[in-house]
Amino acid sequence: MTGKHSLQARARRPPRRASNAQVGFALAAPAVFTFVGLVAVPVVAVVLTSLTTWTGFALGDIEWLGLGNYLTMSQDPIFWRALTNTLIFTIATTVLLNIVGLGLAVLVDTRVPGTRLLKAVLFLPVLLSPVIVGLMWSGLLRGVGGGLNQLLDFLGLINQPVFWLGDSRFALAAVIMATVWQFAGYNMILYYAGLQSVPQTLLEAAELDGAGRRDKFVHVVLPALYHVMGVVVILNVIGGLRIFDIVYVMTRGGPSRSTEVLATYMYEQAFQLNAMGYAAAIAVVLILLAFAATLLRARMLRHV
Amino acid sequence: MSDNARRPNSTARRPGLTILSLLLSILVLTPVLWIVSLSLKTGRETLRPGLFPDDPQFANYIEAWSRYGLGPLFVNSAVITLLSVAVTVVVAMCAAYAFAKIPFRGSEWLFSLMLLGLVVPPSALVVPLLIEMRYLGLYDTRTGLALIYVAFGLPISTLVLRGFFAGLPGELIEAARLDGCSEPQILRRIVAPLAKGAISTVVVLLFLANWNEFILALVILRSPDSFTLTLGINAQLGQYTSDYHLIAAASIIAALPVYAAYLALQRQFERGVTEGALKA
Repeated sequence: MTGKHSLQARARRPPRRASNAQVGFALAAPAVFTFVGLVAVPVVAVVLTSLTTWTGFALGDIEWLGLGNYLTMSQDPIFWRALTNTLIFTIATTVLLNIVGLGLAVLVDTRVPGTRLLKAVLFLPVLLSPVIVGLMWSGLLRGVGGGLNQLLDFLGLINQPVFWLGDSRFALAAVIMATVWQFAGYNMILYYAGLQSVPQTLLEAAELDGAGRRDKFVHVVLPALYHVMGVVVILNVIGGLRIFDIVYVMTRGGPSRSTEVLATYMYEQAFQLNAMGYAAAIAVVLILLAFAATLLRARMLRHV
Repeated sequence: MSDNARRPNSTARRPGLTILSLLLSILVLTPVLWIVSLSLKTGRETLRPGLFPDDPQFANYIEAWSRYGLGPLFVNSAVITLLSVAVTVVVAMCAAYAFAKIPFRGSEWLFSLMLLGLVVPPSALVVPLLIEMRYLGLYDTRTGLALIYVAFGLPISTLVLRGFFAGLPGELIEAARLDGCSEPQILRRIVAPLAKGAISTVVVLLFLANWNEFILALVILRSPDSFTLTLGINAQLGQYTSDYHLIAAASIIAALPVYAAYLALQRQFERGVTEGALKA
């Protein structure tokens, strides 16, 4: 069909100056070049930099090192700490966000009075910058004068202030809680959209078969949500792996590295210690983790 | 998307669920309310418990605005966000249209390459980006930061728009070609007006991401004159540690425009966030 039309067009009109393919490439070129220049080239640059010792910003100071940075990394307890914390953070936020998000979506989907308010309220933190969220939670969790301690004191549960962010037992959990608070509404809205596409006829058929509320949820609603769940989980995982802002604002990775994550450790190596090569090696780990998570999901989807 | 008629049960009153919804709303709002209350306290009051300040200090907002120079920070955030969103939408539309309707050699491959950008964490690329910006003479400029935002916004925008364009009937475009329209004309006069929904999805996504972005701004912008709102507020941390009430006021001022935009365009925001994630 397309061929016939364009043949007619060519017969009727003087030949075009540029072929279709050239026009297509010209239209795609600005996007492709911007992307290659500012995303693809930097990825290659990070990989190459990770194989060098490079301190400072002058390109002349680069020296080839091979896999030395990765060797150092494998013996660096702070790196392992940061990696472990990143994984704990990612898994904890993903699990909590999905349970909370799905539960809230089911509640909002009942559309009883009050759920519209809940939906709007839940979306508020989603819109905020993690910097502001981190700032708010730092205030809430401050030892002296913090909102949480005031509440616990009022309820008679504590008699001296707890320094939530200054105590390595609580700091990571605090950052996780702040993140869950921020993004619960995000997962809720995605699951809510997923619930709208659950086939009503299946629900009615299940009802006719005498299925209870729980049966309907487990056997009809959940299977219909598998696709959405896959997307939401991978978004949460990718978001969790790259976590930086909220940690940087709330704890800067402390106390005593208890909230250090890969991105904050990389930032410290690059911009406080000028160890560009080592920072790049950490960045490569970060990129590889993100790709591994994506590949894992692609594999899982093939099996579902 | 929502269809009330479809669900006969929804009108049934279930007071238990209503109460649960209200309790959860209060729970989620508590941190915000506490910050609002903090922002209305006097400096001396900030350490004292209690949600209700004795004498609400609305002047705190004016003081926060002038002390932290929120005006220029707002302008910088707005300039960077508007510039980057506008450029991303135009550039992504062209590319998405080409990828969907004018295939050329290697176009599939280039599109797949761009999709890898959905996964790469921006934080991992801060060092090479910094070096590139220095070489381009764009380090510590709003243009440079906006350009980086464009690069990171392109994959998701191109993906969403391409999905929409692919669904447009080929006859429509063929007819325009027969009428002698050039491809850019087709894009501007025929395709773009039809794509309003997809464009608003992309705009919402980019607006939220770029307005709230932090680590790239932290690395690329050095002088306080070019700081964005998030950077400016971050810079106050630890500087006047006793002025929690003012920082609280500043945070609320920074958060208000985005929430106001959401309340005004609730449907577009919710659809934008949902489609940006689920169509990806």
